Amino acid sequence: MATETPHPRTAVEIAEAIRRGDLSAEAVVERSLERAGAVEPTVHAFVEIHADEALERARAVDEAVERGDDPGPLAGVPVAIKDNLSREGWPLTCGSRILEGYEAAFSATAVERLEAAGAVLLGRTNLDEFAMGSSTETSVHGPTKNPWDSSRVPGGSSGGSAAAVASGVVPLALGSDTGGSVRQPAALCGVVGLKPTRGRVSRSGLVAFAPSLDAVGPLAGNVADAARALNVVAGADGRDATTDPRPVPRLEDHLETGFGGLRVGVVEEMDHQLAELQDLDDFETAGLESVRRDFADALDRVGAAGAEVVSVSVPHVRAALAAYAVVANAEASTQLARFDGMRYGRRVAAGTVDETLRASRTEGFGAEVKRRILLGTFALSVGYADAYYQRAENVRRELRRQLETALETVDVLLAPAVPEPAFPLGERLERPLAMALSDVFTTPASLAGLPAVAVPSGLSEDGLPLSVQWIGRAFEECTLLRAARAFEGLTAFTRRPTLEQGVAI
Amino acid sequence: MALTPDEVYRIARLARLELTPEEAERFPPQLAELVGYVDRLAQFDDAESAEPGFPVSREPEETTVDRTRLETLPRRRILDQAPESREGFFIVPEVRGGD
Repeated sequence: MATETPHPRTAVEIAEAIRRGDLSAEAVVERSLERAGAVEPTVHAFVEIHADEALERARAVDEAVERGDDPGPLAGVPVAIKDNLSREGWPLTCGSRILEGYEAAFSATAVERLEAAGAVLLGRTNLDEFAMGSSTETSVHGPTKNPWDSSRVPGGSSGGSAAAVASGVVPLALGSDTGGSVRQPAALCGVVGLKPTRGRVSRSGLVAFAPSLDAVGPLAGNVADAARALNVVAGADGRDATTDPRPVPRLEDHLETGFGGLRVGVVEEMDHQLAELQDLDDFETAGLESVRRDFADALDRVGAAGAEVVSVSVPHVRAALAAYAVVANAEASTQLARFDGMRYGRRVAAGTVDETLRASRTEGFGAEVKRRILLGTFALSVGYADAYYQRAENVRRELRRQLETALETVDVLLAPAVPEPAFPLGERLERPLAMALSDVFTTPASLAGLPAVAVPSGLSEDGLPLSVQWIGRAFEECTLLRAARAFEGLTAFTRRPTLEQGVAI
Repeated sequence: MALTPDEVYRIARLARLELTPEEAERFPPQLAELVGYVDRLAQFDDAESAEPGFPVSREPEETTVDRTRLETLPRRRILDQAPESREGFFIVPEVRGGD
């Protein structure tokens, strides 16, 4: 029997109810586990659910409340973490065979902070192998399905986190975003996905893919939950020298200001980007059109709600994905050199150290990871490094300058999050360029280190989520989330996916 | 810039990867398509680009971050993860085979 996903309480509502003593954390976690039991056979958002530990921690939260101790701002909230974030004592697979048997020796700072805030980790979510992908199909654990249509992808690489929230198992999840890996799956699954400013959240304990681009960010059912989650995990960290020392304002306090007086910029070149995709066989006109229409509609509503909508020019957005493809994969080729079967993970013995190293990597990495390592190695190799890596860095620098200039004249930018709604499973697995093009709109903010958030805006004719993306000035998540919240209020996107196996709770 | 199968083999060697014959056939056109897309960078990288000194990523200006309490992981914990270890050392295959 198909039933609509029950509208769960928000993370903030759950935490406040638990803190007041009106709700038991154990009951909340039990409900999450029950929900998981019903939907996971279809969705497969999780690599592993740690039920016993979760219930134990939930009981500890309830005991703390009974004693009169402060259980924290996320008290008892069930949270899922992407399986490239370390949690001490838990396996850490990164969706790869090469980390078979590996157990994390320490927790990622973001994970530690969630637990210190009272959150209950339910389990680890599925991802594209080493966070490389836009569909969560390359995981050694098998694909995750989109809760809105299980024949379609949830997006990636944080597809498990997005699906876990969208299918109502948890109200909150952590993901990682390198070129769009939080925002794009959020968009395809109809949830909120936030990538903070570069340096806002510690990357300690996040398995590196591209260190100059990687960001840890929350996925949630609504903007206020994402804001609270960001406050919990953000802030300087001694274990990550790239974190910024400036304090994080209390983001929830500034959410309800509305659109009045806000200047919203629309990047004129993004329309050309959508048009460009029309010429490619991989992209269906209907899908691109639904995004264009939805975006135009979003602009109208935002203007009608009191924002001043202004056109801005950022010519280098048309080179963002190309620059990203070079820089990210170049960094990845370096970061993944550490997986060699010598000190951890899977070793395939093959004779000498060099032979063993090759065999371990060859057998341990999937095709997409190999392709990206090859591309990255190529871009850095003698004879090509100037034409590719150096050029990409030049373009990146100029793109950032153009975006920051645009954001001097407006407060936030409004853009599509993705070029089309969720595509079918298997369709793009052997089409790496088409797969990469999912990130045309998310890569600019990644390259420039700017905060950006995907917010659901409507449904396509096929009943698939459509989203917009807000992009803000560096370290101004306040303004960014204010715009996101105001937009959320306009769309009132409360629809939930209809799953084949509903559960009445 | 086309990526020939020979070049793909060369790069694979650099990256310490071995390609199966199937991959050696499948990957080159896929990579070539990506490289072809990436070649558009040439149109965007011109004399008007931002000065090289302009920082690409935003690094903090002052590090007032507390780094005094950094802990060290116990050695046993690390070595337990190793495919092979003994007496506090990682055991790895020999560097050279016999001649």
